[in-house]
This record gives sequence, C-alpha cells and structure tokens, in this order.
Amino acid sequence: MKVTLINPNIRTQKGDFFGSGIPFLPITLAYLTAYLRKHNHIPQVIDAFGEKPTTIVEEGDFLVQGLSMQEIMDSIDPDCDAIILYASLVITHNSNICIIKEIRKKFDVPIFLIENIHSVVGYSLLKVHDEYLAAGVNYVLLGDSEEKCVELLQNIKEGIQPTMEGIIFMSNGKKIIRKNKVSKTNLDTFPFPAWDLFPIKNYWALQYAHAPMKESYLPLLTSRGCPYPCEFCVTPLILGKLWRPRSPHNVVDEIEHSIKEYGVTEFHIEDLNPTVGKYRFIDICKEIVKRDLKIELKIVAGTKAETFDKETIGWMKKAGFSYVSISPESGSKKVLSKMKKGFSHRHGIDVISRLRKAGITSQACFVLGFPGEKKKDLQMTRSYIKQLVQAGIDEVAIFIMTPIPGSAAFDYAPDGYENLNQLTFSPKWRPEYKELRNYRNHTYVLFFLWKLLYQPWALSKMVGRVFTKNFNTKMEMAFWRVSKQHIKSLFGEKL
Amino acid sequence: MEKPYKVVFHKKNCIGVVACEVVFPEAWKYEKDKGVVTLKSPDATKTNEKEELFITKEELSKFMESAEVCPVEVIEIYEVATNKKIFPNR
Repeated sequence: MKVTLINPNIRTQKGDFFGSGIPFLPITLAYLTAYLRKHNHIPQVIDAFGEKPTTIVEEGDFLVQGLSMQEIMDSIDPDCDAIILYASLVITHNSNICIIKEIRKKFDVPIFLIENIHSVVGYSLLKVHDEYLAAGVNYVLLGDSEEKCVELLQNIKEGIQPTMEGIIFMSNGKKIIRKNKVSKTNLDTFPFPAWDLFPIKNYWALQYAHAPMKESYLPLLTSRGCPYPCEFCVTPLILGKLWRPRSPHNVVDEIEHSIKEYGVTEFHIEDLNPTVGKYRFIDICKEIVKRDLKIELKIVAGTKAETFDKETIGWMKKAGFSYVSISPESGSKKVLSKMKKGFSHRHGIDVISRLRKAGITSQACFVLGFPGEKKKDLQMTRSYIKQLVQAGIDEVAIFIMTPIPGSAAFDYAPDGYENLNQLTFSPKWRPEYKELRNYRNHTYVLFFLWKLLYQPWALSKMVGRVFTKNFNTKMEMAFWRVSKQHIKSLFGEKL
Repeated sequence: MEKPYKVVFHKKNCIGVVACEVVFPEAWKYEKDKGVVTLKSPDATKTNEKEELFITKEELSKFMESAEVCPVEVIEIYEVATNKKIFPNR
C-alpha cells in the first residue's frame, strides 16, 4: 500500500532556545518508514520542517519553521492509501490538529497518529486523543508504532476491525480504547532508520542540532524506554518502565551502515537512558574500538549518572565519545524524592570530574519549579551547580517545569495554560514564571562567573568557539543561533 | 562490631541496571552470566530469590545511596531492633 508519513513543522517559543525549536531528526518516523518498506509498502515522507527549515512564519509567541499548510497538502500523494502523522512534541499539538483538519477536508483515506516514544518532551496520546479524533484521525496508535502500523494496514486492506493492543478508534459511534502493551520484539530485528527518504542535508545546513554539531550527524537509538519512574516524564506511562536494549553488535552495524551510506562520522545518541546496564554500554564501546571506527559520539539527552563510572568513561574515551549530558534535575534530595528520581550528588560530581579528566565535554540538566519546591531547594540546586563547575562541568541547561500530558506530575502540577502548545520549558502562563525565570537567569550569570573563577581558560575557549562555529557545547551553539537571528532581524529577516 | 541495619536485596526482581554497583562497587558485583548483581560480602546469606546482609552504622549511607539509585527498588534497608523499613519509605 502507498503510505504518506508526515513530520510536522518545528515551533520555537520566542526566547526559549534551549527547550523548543530543537531540530530533532525524526528517528521514530525514520524507523517506521524503514519497517513499512521492509513489509513491501511504499512510503512517501513529507518532512514539513526538514523540507524548508529556513522558512519561518511568526504565529503569536511562536516561530514556525518549514512548509506552509498549502505546501504540505500539495505534497501528499493523491493516490496514497493511508496517511500517518507523527505527534512529535507537545509544542506542535495545535499545528498537528490543523494539519489533520486540512487533510480530512481534502483526502478520503484513513489517518493514523503515532506518538513520540523517545523523548521527555513528547506527550501521551492516551491523554489527548479526543481532540485528535474530533479533528479527523481514524486511529491513534500508542507506544512503538512499527508493528502496529503494518498490522493496521493489513486490517484496512482486508476490511476488518483492528484487534491489536495500544490503539484508540471509533467504531459505530463508540470509542474503543485498548491500552498499550510494550512490544517484546527484539529491537535488533528492526531495519535501520530510512534516512535516505529524509532531507538530512537540510538539517545539517542549519548548523545547529540537539547536540553541538560539526558538519553532519545522525541520531542513534541504542535502546528504547527507561526503567526509572520520574514523575515529570511521560515515558513510564508510554513504555511502562521497561528498558529494551539493542545488542552492541547491532548498534555498531548501524554506525558502519551510516558511515557507508551517508558519509556520517558524528552520532548523537538520543536514547532516554543509553548507559543503563553498564556492561552492555561498555561492550558497545569495545565493539567500536574493535572495528577501528573513527567516529565522534555524543550522549545528547541527560542520561543517569549512576549508570556509568570510571571504567565506562575509559571505554567511552577510546570509542570516540566527546560529549555527555547527565540529568541531576535538582540539588535538593527532598525535590528529587518528590520527583521519584534517585540521584547521587556525590557520584554526579565524581562523573563530571572524570569526564573532565578524559577530555569529554559534559552537561548537566536541571528543572526548576517542580511542585512543592521551596526557595531553599532552589538554593541547593544553585549550590550544586557551583560544585559541578568546580569539578569541571562545561555547561548546564536549566528548564522550568511544565506539566506534560502523560507524566505523573501532570495530574498535580499547576495549570492555567490555554492550550497544549504553551507547555514549554519556559511556561509563561505559570503564576510564578517571572520569579523562576529570574532565578534561572541569575543562575546562568553565576554559572559564567564561577566558570571565570574556576575554569578561566575554558570560558575564553567557549567564546572563541562561538566565532569559529566549532561548537563544543550547546550553549555556544545556542548563542551563535540567537546572535544570527538578531543580526538577520536587523535586516528584516526572521532567522 | 554492632550491625544495627539489614540490607535485603530481592534478587529475583533485579533488572541489571547496575547503578548500585556503579555508586558502591565495594559492596555489589554484576554477574554477567545471570544479568543481575549480587552482594560481594561473604557474610551475606543468599538464595536464588533474595540476599541479606547485616551492616554497620558507618556502612548505612553508602548502602542507602545504592538503594536510592535502583529504579526498581529491589534493595530494602531495615533497622534491626525495630524491624522498621527505612528504605524505600513509601
């Protein structure tokens, strides 16, 4: 069957350059595309962001990058048998609804909606499906989408009602909700992502990504899911705290395939927690060393510091790791307990110190404003950041807590937003937003002052790298991106 | 030496994240063939399902740390005198 897959436009909340507007290469969709092709379907990919990433439209407090609605509709194969839309991020919710309404007006084919299972900024479709069904979606698919989409296409072809788990649809005016059961399929059996059908060179031309990038890169998933129960994250609901690894051999096969097919030697590991199971991760490093691959690897999203140590870092260095992000989230044990996040502050310092000695750039991510957090907890976070700077950390990212539909905290976090698009890491609708924003800004200022005090050479190098675009940190990349935007806006352009 | 606390490790529910060994390698060891960790101490009593070890007050904080970073909370810590569970405490 002919299947059209759509990756929606990317939206940036003005002024929120760390939390929104990140040009994620849509790996969920690339896996699904490859799987459909393996099962003899004919996929057509419309990457509404990737086709025209430098075309910007202003929509209120947001900048929207990519194809216009008319261009998206004109790109859809009129002979397609089904359309699959990727509900990538909560910030794109409203534009997803608009795309679906427009498709429904123009095409009489089934519309599937799939969720993002690989990101803490994705959202649970189980929690927001009503709006999508009302807009015209026929099937909302929960969790891993590959096998479900193939089975559903077969059901449609045969004219029978789907019987699978993890699906929501209407039948004779009645809503059917079947909760998801996480797939037990060996991830090694999935084909590698079909990047050949995506405009990857347009992403590279942007010169900014989720990780500090050089010239070209591809994302890599060495595992799916996460065993931790953190209350701010959607993953426990979407994937049921099950962590599913790929084998080291299969991961490195994909790296070799990407080198050969796309000429890429930089890989951004986008797993929720790639280092869970220390010895598997070391085996990945050993396999890279054994095959003598000259590559650069980056752990992009904050991984759990307690799942790797001195031995792991030694192997990471040998394998070509140059960037590692960890996620302490808070300096306060009390807040961590509320988040249901176990974190060893002592070990976090040790890890950063060892990464520094190994010459691997490090980042730590924090969340301010978690429900129940007091001023003294905020001060503990600031104090921990200072300790990390003393240990040699290269950069920090500080987010303001926003309730993501599907996370446990969504049920008790503050509300007051008008629509889901406003659920960003700069939630201006929160009554205490200004206070938290000021605390965040002051903490960033202090961070740079501490850098000046404890790592003066490292700070001066950061400045140099912004001008040469040889980014080692996300901060350098974000500064370059914001500066570029301001310079262009002087000449009347948006980016 | 007085050992007022007891570590109870529910081995059958261990999923092999190995975070306990990472933060406290002196106490835990990963068994690669079984895919789970085990207590290193020869004083630990062990069955296929569960391992137990009495510990000193000085050892408590490190064992607490290894229990806190376990995502599936298979490491429990008790105060022996009262048999009160002090971790996890929810």
